[in-house]
Amino acid sequence: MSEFLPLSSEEELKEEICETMKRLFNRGLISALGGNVSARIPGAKEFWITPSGVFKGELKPEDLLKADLDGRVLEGFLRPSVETPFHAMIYKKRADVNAVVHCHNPFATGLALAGIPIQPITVEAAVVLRKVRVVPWAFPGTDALANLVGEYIEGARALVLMNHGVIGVGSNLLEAETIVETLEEVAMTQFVASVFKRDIPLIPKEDIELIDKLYRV
Amino acid sequence: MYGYIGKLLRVNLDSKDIRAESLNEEVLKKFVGGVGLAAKIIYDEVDPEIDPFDPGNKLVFMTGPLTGTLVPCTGRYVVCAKSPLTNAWGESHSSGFWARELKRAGYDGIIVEGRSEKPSYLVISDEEVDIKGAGDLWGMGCLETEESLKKRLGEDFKIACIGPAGERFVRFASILNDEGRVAGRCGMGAVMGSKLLKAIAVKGTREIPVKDPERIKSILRRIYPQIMSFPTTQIFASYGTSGEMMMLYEYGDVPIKNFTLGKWEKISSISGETYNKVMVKGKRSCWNCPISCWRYVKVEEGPFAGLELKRGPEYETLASLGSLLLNDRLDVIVKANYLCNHYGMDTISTGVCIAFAIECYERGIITDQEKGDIDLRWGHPETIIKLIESIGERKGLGNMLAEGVKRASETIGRGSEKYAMHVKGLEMPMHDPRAFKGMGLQYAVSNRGACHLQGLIHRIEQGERMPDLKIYERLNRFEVKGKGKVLAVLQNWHEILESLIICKFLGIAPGHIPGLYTLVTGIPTSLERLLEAGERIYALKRMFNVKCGITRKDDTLPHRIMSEGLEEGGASKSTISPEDLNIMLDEYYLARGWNENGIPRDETLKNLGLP
Repeated sequence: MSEFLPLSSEEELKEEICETMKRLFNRGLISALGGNVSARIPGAKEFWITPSGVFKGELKPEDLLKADLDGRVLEGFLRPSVETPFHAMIYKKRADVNAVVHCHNPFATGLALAGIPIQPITVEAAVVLRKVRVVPWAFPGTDALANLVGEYIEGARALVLMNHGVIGVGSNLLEAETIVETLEEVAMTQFVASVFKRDIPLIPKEDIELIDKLYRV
Repeated sequence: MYGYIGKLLRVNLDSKDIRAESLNEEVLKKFVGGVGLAAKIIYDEVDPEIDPFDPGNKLVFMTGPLTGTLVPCTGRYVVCAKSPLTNAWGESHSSGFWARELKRAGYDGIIVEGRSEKPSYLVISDEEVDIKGAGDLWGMGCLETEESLKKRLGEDFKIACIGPAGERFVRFASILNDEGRVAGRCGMGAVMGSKLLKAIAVKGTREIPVKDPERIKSILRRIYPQIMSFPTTQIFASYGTSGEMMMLYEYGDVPIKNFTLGKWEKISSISGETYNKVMVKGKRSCWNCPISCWRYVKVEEGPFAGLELKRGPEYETLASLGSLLLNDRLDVIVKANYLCNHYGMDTISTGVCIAFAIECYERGIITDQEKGDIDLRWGHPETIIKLIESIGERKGLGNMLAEGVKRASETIGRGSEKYAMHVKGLEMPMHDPRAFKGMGLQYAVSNRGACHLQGLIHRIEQGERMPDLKIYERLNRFEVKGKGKVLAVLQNWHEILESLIICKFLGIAPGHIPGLYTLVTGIPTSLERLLEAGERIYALKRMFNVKCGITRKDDTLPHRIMSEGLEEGGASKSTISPEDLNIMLDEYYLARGWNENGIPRDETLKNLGLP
């Protein structure tokens, strides 16, 4: 963890998760019943996650649950997010990830449903998102979905879940939130352009190759 | 204590001894409350070899830690005894307001022992208990009894009572409370009648203590959108349980003509849509229920015009007194339901008995002499009404049918057993297991006999997933593999719902329940711990049944289900063959840690902390 990113206490982390949820809800990326967020103290073997089925726009720190990397609930009263298994899987696979945001981005999910890949149409798309892969359909909440996410998350910052939503990951909550917001911005831009033009101009290939070299993960 | 009141009332009708007993916290942690606590009491105290009508049988009314609290859909109680229908474990459930009032009166439950010398009723008012003479009430119908007691004691009393059927030991007699909420199954009303106990009137003023009401309110407010979005919640809120009728019909699930037809052109006459349009005048709810599945009905036209039921027929009754008998007249169903409530008889068992009688007569098994002056015809209003009256009065053919379809068929003989639709003596509910084979397994193994509620596996066979219970996959409704393991988990969960007690119609995910339980009672728990308690409760009931002589041979299905496929409809040609059933039973017993004869292994019992 960089020295520019001060560590949060667990209580601060829980507050931040609720703030993140509120912003994403107000932005229309998390709906009343869909979407979840988790975060952990860097290096911790457990994480805090939002509950399932509780109105997402009004979560409180006391509503959150603590789970271990096998998805077992350690603390909390409410029903844990049904997606706890894939959050746990991401933390298991990616030591660099300390926050996971799962939203129901309408445009990004819609493009995937139409079979249209997220393209490098802006510098943000190329730099922030890099390649956005689409995880094939698996029923929400299942180990099957968790295993697929575990496979696809290697080297990725953003994923689209077929017929479901998106995932953004980061070293902290703001980074993970930035990913899903950028993804939606790019998807919306791409959608608007594709309404009027079949072949939309992409950032030239050589510039993409340069970006890849400069920002190699 | 929070959630629980902390006291049970023990009433001995022989000695008139009345005692309050404290609840043991360790027992509560193991058996939760409701049906779990009742099972513990019955197992410990009732001789499994006793005749159900012997004064030594005990009738246990029980509420749960969530009963009557601000958690929604918690107006329920359970009543348990050795069943006169199955001669084994018996339980029945009802909702309304009586259960909450019992807690407010100072008791979590009542254990009724012995037999009164004369007809009597019990009055419980703010912990004060009195046994009073019921000579003037004996013979009265349930609704009339309730009205009469309210006039006598005060409108704020809540009444649970039996009717003439319970007094006459009709083996499927029910207990009614709150103007038509019914504990219908397993003949608990007959056990109450055998004790010469007509009614229990309760009234209380105390608050039910809850550990953290503010936090519960805050959570409930925010989980309501999800609860009300659950598909069955929406259907039940819009139409009541009848709202599922046409969907279930498409699956071939709705029994028609004693389970012999897969299609019936008149089904829409009794569908939820028609029923709500023609008959329903309003909807009402039990204690603290956002669904309001309870329908208030009034007949506007025809011979029964003016007849009102504050709690009209539900899906099970619309089918058992409708499609099962080829009766397409809603007014006749309402009248028949009214009569069942008057006599205090389970509408499911009543319908199955009538269908059995008509089919046996049609096949020449029941003779003209045996049927007496009742015209036994499918879809004939007079047949239905007269047979209900004759069962309730125990007259003529009705006297034989009052014994339940199993005993009636054994008395008649002549091959009639093939047309008696029951498991272990409890008449089959209105879900044809040939449409959902998992439901066949559920009927076969359920502790109280053919039971559609303890598991609701057909919902999983329709595509519902329950990730909290690790049920991720849709089960093919016509396949048998994979059903045993899933059913065991579902039954364990349902034991918990019936111990807390919380209505199954509430669309709330299991994962929310441990938190609500803890916030109500202050006792920390987890889903895993509750599921283990559910398994313990289920196993204890099975052990009571084993002591009553129940083994694998009894975990079976009616001949018709195992050998006769329907010609048409959504489940045409399907049967649950003996081989199918054996595959499911083997898997189920294995999942439960029972031996191949269906008896819990010593190690299983030890792991569950059972004797």
